[in-house]
Amino acid sequence: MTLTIEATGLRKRYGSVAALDGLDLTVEQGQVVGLLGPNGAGKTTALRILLGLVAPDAGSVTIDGAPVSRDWVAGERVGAMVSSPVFYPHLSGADNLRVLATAWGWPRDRMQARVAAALALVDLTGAGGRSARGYSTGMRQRLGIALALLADPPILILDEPVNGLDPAGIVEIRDLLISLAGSGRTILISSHLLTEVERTCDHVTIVDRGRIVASGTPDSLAGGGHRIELRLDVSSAPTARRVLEAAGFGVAESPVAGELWVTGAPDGATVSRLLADAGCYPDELVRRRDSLEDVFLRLTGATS
Amino acid sequence: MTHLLAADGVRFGHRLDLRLLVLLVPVIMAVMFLADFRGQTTPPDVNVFFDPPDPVAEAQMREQQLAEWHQGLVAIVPTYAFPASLLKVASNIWPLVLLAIYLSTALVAGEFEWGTMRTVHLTSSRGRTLGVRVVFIAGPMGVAVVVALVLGAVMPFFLSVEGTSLQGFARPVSDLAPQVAARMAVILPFIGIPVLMAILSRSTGLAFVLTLLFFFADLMVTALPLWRDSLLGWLPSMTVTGSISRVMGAGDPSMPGLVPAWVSFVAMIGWAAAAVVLAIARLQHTDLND
Repeated sequence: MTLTIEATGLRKRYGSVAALDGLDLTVEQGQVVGLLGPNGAGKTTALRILLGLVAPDAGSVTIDGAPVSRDWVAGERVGAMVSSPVFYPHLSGADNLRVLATAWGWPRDRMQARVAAALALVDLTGAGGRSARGYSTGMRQRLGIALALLADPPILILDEPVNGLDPAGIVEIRDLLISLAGSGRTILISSHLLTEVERTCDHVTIVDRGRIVASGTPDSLAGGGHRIELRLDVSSAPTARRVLEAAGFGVAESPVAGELWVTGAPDGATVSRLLADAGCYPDELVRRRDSLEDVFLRLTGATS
Repeated sequence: MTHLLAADGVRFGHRLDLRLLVLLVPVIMAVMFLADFRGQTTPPDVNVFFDPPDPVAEAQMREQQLAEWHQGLVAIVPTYAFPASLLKVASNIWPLVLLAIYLSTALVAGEFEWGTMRTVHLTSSRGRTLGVRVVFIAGPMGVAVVVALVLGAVMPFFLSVEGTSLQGFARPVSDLAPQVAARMAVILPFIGIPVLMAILSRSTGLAFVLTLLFFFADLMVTALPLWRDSLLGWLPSMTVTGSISRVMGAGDPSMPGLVPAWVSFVAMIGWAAAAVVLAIARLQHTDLND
């Protein structure tokens, strides 16, 4: 198995704050990995270290077997957008792409073709000739992604790629990422948008306080865990709660009045029988599988 | 390296402000040359009044002063005629110095301000990128120098002194090319040191101010009287501003401790190179969080 990105024991402190505290991360070739975490979890610091922009206090990074340091050159193999998209404001979107292509020494015809293709991928063809200074937040985000995609790189590292995009833009970029993932690229996406990660990534790593707290496929992370959601008459809720807790199940009140979330019950039938025996008849009983959001909140909430 | 230079051309070639500055600076130098020439060749107002009034003696005194001015003019005028005019233009380097400081701070610190320094790893190593940027800055400076020298070569053919073409006073100048080159090389510390300040401060404005403060402090150290008549008598001609002054022809050769001009030239180049090396080392050992 080829390891495309491998980070081992990354530690980084900013003053008294530990941004990373022994983070290990492996991204295999062709994987689309989502790096999830609350704000300040260390995601961006991790990506900066992966790209050699920041040196870790301890630990090491290799990309395609080559050690990454501050003087590492990604070249055309790694497309990246870390933190906010960066560009020369006095240049047009297309010229910003041409800067990179010229530095790589591309011939004119390849440059023209790839610049046009990258702009088209992010729906900036019509605005490519305009000064980037006047771009909206969403257009800047698209330009940042176009810069990352310019060389059609086999490895993509993107930090919050849908930040600032409107719902239609989010769908477009999500579809783009899914199509890129389908073409065998290795992609590492950092985000706090759980739905986007769940839909785009085949592997998820959850980071909190600079450490990995969970890692796996979205399904395996959810782990087959579930809860029973009950909707009852408000007056019946206390009785139902008492009965279910007496049976050893966990019961929590949802934000909706008269709704209870039951954990630890083997199935809906058991819950239904216990409630019927106590004279409680729920209006609605649903068995709901844990989502990535549930796992994320449970893991990061428990440590925050 | 040529690709990186070409990329810098795409980055900054479109900036109208830089283009205008590069053309404006030689024009300012030409205007300074003309103003200097006019100031030297315009007959002075000689006002002599005796008390009690003596018109004959006053007229004699006026004539005597004008004759002295004419005598001085004979020595001065050839320095404005081509080819000596090139040396004259090259000596008024302050506009070039300011341009060098501005370009060096803006084109290096700007990368931090725009955040584009974070893309440095996509194209080359940090040291190579900064080294190429320094070479790139020398490009527009070279254009400004060439335009200024061309103006300096052409202007004397359109000037005259008291009805005589200025070129009628032309004299050959020995070692003209090395002298002009040495004066132009004076710009190098004004590229190297601002680049270092830009890397340290990551801000165009702050780097500009720090550069001016650095040269002011260096000037103060150079001017300290304690170096005179001491074992460190050579020091004032080896500091950044001291070596520049020496290369520009300042300093009494009989002054004790004064080093030969070529030693100051080497020191000046050394300061410029050391600043760039320090800037590269700093960039290589710094985190790019911004």
